[in-house]
Amino acid sequence: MENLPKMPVETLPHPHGVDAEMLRRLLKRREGKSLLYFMAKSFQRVGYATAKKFLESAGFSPHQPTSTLTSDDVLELMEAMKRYSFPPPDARCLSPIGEDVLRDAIMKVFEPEFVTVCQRPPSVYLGHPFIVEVAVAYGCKGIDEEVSLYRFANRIPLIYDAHSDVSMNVLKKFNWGNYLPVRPQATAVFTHICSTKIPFKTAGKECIADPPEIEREIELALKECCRRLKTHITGRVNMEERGRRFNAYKKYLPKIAQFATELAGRRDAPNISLTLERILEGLD
Amino acid sequence: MKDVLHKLTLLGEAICVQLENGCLPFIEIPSRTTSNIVYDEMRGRFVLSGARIKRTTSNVKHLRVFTQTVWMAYMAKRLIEEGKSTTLRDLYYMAESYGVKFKDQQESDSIIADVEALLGVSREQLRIFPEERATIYGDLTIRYNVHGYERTILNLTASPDGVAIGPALAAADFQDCGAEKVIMVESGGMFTRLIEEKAHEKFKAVLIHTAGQAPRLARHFAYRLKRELGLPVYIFTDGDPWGAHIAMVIISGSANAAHVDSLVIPDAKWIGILPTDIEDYRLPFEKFNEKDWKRLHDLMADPRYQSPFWRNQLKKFEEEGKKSEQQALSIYGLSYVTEKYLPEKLI
Repeated sequence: MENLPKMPVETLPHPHGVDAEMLRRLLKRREGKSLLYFMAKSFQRVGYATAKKFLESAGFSPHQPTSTLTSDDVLELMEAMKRYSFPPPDARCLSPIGEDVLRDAIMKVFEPEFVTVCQRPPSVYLGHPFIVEVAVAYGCKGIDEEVSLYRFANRIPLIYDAHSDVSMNVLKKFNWGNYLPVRPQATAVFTHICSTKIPFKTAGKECIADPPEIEREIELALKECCRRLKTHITGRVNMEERGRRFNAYKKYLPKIAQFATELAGRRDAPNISLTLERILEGLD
Repeated sequence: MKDVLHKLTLLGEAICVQLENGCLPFIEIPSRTTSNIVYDEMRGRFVLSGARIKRTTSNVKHLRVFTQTVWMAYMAKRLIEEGKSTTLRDLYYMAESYGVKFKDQQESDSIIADVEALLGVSREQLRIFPEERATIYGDLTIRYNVHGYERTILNLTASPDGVAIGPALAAADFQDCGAEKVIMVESGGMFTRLIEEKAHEKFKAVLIHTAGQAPRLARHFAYRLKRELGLPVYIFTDGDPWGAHIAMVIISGSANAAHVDSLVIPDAKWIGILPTDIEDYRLPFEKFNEKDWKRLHDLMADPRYQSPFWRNQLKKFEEEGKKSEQQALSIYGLSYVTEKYLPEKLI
């Protein structure tokens, strides 16, 4: 492994992504400061200007001290933050695996005939930035099923409860026929979701829920991978087809020449080596 | 023969020239698909219409069939030159040793028909024959011209069982003929009966046993008798739709052989057993079964059966729903067919 992944950058939370508990904690940290100061210093993508605009639209005074907020006020503030359209969260805090690393790892373990990795641009669900990475490996060693799924969340492999996972949902709905001329064989699909908050369905952190944003990103990445796989497979089929074509000509053209020569009562057969060469070059 | 050889040579030459010019060779064959087979009312037979198919080696899918077509022509040329003959089945097997194996005999038969259509000659002229053999009996003297029998002269009354119409006989020259007509007979029993009753002398007839649907060789031989010796041809079959169709194929040809000319005898005549005979001669009969009805309705829709004579026959069948075999005539004694039935029919 030559290139280490980029170090993630520490960031503040995004206003869309905080719950009441967290908001209370943040408020406590800025006790005695104004709401304006609190907003501008506690969240990413929020400066004084944005904070002022937001507070005014939400009906809070920018100069109100944080300590005077009642617990109802805190809830109201949270709701307002969710409604307000802040710039999207910063994804530099995320640590995707990276296409090269993922490809190398798959090659090493599964030795597939073909592998392709697609990393989607950062996206957001409920204020949490996330990045989806999908890899499709075709013709893997040691895989018997047509398609098997390997899931990762923030670089951690997920072992159990695959059937209710968002990746499995996408896979179940996926129509391979749109992409492959044949049924997929010994194919492995890898999904990696990295996010500041992975929406696990259960406390056991085994399967990921399906917010439409995440589901969509997985689907798009899978489609992109399969488009590349299709190019690979049809390319291979074309090569084989050309080989077959040429072999057919190599077999039959001399016979045609021989039979025709005897039919015509000629002594010498016409020279067909040039014609064969042209067929090999694909000119005919 | 010269003509056929010339056509084969031209075909080989055409392909050689295409190859020399660096082209992928192609040939154009009159199409034998159903849509291209039309009934020519003027000539009273099926013919191929103008459509042609292009069989080209620039299409890799045509490559094998193209090779097989050329091979077939090449085999025909060798057969003619060496004075040999072969069967459809032989060719199917021989192809394998030339590396042009056929999937099944149907495929090789179809290629033979392609070569027939391509050159406008019959497969008999290419020395390719089917397995079925008809037999012939009568006062006709022929001289063989196949290798080893060049001087052999044979009168076709030589064997009381008749002589098989094989490739050698089909190509023989007519030397002498005491007969004045040809009677083609469907069943073997009736053929033997006619020989035993000396029908050939009584009616001055050459008898041909078709054994059901007449083989092409028998049709071709009858065609030659008609054309070269001017003998009228009569057809004597069972009195059912199947018998009628045996007669029709001899008269008007089949759709399968629409591309071959030397098979149809438009003025041959079906003399019996006609549906009206069943009543007129009070012959024992059977009722039509389901297959007979189906066959009858197929024939009624067939363009070959639209002349007044044939329409009436089929209508009579439809009204009565009765059929009689040739042997039904024996109810009045073994000689009845030669004493009474045929004399009235051959007037």
